[in-house]
Amino acid sequence: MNSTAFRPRGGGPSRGGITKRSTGRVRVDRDGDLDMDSPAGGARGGRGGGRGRGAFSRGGVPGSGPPRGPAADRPRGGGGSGAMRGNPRRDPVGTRAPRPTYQPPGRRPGGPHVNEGPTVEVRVEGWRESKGGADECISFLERKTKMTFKKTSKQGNTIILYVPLSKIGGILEWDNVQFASSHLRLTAPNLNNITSSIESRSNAIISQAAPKSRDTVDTIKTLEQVLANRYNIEAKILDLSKLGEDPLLKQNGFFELSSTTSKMFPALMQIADKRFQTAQQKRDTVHSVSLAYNSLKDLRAVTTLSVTFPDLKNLSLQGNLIEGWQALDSWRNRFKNLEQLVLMGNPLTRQPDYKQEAMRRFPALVMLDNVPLDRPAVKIGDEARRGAGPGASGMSGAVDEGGRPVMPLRTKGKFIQDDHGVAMGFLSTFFATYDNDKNAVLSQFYDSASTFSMSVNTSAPRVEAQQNTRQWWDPWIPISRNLKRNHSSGFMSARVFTGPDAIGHIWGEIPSFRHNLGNEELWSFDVWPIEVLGAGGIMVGGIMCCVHGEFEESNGDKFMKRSFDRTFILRPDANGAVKVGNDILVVRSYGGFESWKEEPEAPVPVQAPMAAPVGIPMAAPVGMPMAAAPVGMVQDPNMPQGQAAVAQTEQQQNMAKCFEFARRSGLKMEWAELCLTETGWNLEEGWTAFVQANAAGNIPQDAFDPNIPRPF
Amino acid sequence: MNEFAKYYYNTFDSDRTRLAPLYRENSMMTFETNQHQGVSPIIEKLTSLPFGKVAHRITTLDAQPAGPNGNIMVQVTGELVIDDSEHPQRYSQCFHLVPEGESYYVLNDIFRLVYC
Repeated sequence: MNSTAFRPRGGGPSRGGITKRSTGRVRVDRDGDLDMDSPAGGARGGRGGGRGRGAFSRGGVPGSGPPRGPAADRPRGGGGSGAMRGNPRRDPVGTRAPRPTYQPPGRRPGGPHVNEGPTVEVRVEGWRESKGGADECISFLERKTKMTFKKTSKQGNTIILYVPLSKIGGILEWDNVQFASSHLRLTAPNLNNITSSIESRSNAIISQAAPKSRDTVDTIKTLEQVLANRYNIEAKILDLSKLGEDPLLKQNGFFELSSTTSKMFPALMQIADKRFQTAQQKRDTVHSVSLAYNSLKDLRAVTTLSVTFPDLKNLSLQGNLIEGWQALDSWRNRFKNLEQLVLMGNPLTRQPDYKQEAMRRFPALVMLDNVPLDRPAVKIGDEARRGAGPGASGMSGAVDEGGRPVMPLRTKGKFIQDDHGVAMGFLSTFFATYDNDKNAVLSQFYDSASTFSMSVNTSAPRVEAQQNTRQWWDPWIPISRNLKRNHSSGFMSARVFTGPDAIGHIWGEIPSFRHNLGNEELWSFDVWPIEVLGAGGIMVGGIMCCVHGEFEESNGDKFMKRSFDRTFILRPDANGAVKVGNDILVVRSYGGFESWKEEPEAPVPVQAPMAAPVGIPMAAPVGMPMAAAPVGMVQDPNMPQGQAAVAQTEQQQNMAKCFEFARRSGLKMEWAELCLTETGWNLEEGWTAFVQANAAGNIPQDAFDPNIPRPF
Repeated sequence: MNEFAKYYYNTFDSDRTRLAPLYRENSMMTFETNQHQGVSPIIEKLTSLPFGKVAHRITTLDAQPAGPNGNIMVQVTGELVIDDSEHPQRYSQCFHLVPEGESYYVLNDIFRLVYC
């Protein structure tokens, strides 16, 4: 590896699992609840849901507290068993055993924000003397700078904003601005170190690529010329195919040594980075990159492409030597917007699950090897075929092999009693249509007696990746019908909506959101026949559906992943069509989908599952014709059920490597990850590279975690 | 419904066997996908749950009338603190209540852990 591994590329592996957050500004909700996300205010830490440590933060300080409680004031790098917070079931109590945690796809450090430059700490002082508090001060600065600070913290009298390097100028210009009868002092003490270390690292990369002891300037010129020759401005294509045959590169001896060959590409990417300076510029000017026919076996030499051009739409790797998906792992969760991919001419394409895996890895992909992909519209019905599993089990007070407490209640997959497929048909149609055409859903499934209400659970725990993000519940709060807080009749009746018009209106008021129908793992369905009072006053068959899942909320340009619980009572109308009687929605902070994953090694069942229900006196569901549920269960026989689970394991393995590497090297997690990414997740190679880079002085001081002993 | 939920969980947390009057022979409980029908099986299941001390903390509660015959759907989310664990499990539970005399009984009860 070369020193590219030690470039803190942009929020790349972002500090502490920072993710995007939605807009909004209310910190105290209308139920009088404290916002868990107030960034700096100590008193406002409230029920802080266990924030304060990042996705990759090290945890396990002995005797550290539960994953709750005020964390806003916790100093950076301070206590808290952060590493485990994604899954308190395995939370270590009094152990020092950092373990990888689940992170949702696409929220991995190094994912979305790679192009904004490293994060710089901006210190804000002088607000204590003002009449405003820390929160007001941050909001004030957000308004002034027209920025959203993804992460902030407070240390004594100083508020610290963590700002991408690319935006630093827009902040520092507000130094000395007047705020609530005081003047704010804005400084970025580390800025010079960061910029100079970037410059020197960048030059180091380029000079390492320079063969024949040419100087860096010559190398830059050569590479710039190569880029210029290979960039097609009309087509917005950067054609880096067959680099080995490039006359200019050959002429300059780039391929004479294998060591320089591998450095050429990172250097080329450095030049590209300089040429297209902003993310927007890159997006606008380069839509496609071809790496065809470069004899690539894996991505080691070209990993940086995903850093330089994260928003690429088209990519060709045609005619390389890529054998398996593992070779593409360092691009896992990258290229989220990739629409076309060409892999033909690689051994990889002969793998049985080739197409499915490509679709899974690149969520926006519509064309693979020049063939359009037909993604299954809905495949959430798969679980319907599964029976109920063995019973709950587990011993209270038990610990696992790592000494961590085992949660007494084991969780189970799905329970579906839906002999006619009516419920699953409804659910498939409902969720597939809801995202695109709410009116269609309303007219098909809602009638004048249908009721809808929703409530917000603002204190639900969150996955690691959202620990440090504000949750921005304010658009939801005005209709949240949490009767625990308020059950006056006025409140109750004002927040339940009856009939398609009222329901449609309120659906238009709340933020829009999209469900992911492509991954059944994200969903849990409990479906159970019940009897309801039907048309004409007779009891007829209805169905109760308890759905648990997630959606991505969009609010302006902000996105926020949420978990939800949604219960439907279905009943037939006078014509026998399926209608929603009740629709009760609970929206929570994103807690992942671990809890309804099957736990295959569940010990001896406490109680065998009951046979099919026999005793309930109810009318046969004759009133609910299958035709009313046109979609039915759409299954994709090509998608093996265990696939996502396998991928998850790989990701977990990588995270485990990250922890191990960070522990050995003393690097912060984001640097450890970057280093490993660039060495193909090989611990030994990563270590060698680290030792070399460290000896060469290419690792900045702030790459090291002050809480970990350094190896040298 | 707030009162119902409070009563239900207080009873659950103090003495699970005393939940029996809230169920009927046609009641169905689905507890983490396992079905239990009838008063005895339900109470048996509840009392066999592998913990001694338990405390439910309701976070949200919403309820809607279900149909003209007075049925009510109650949707609760909350925390389940087991044996004073520092790490509560989170649950989502839906009750289908049917009026009977002055009160309600639980016809359907679907319990689900949603975060652990």
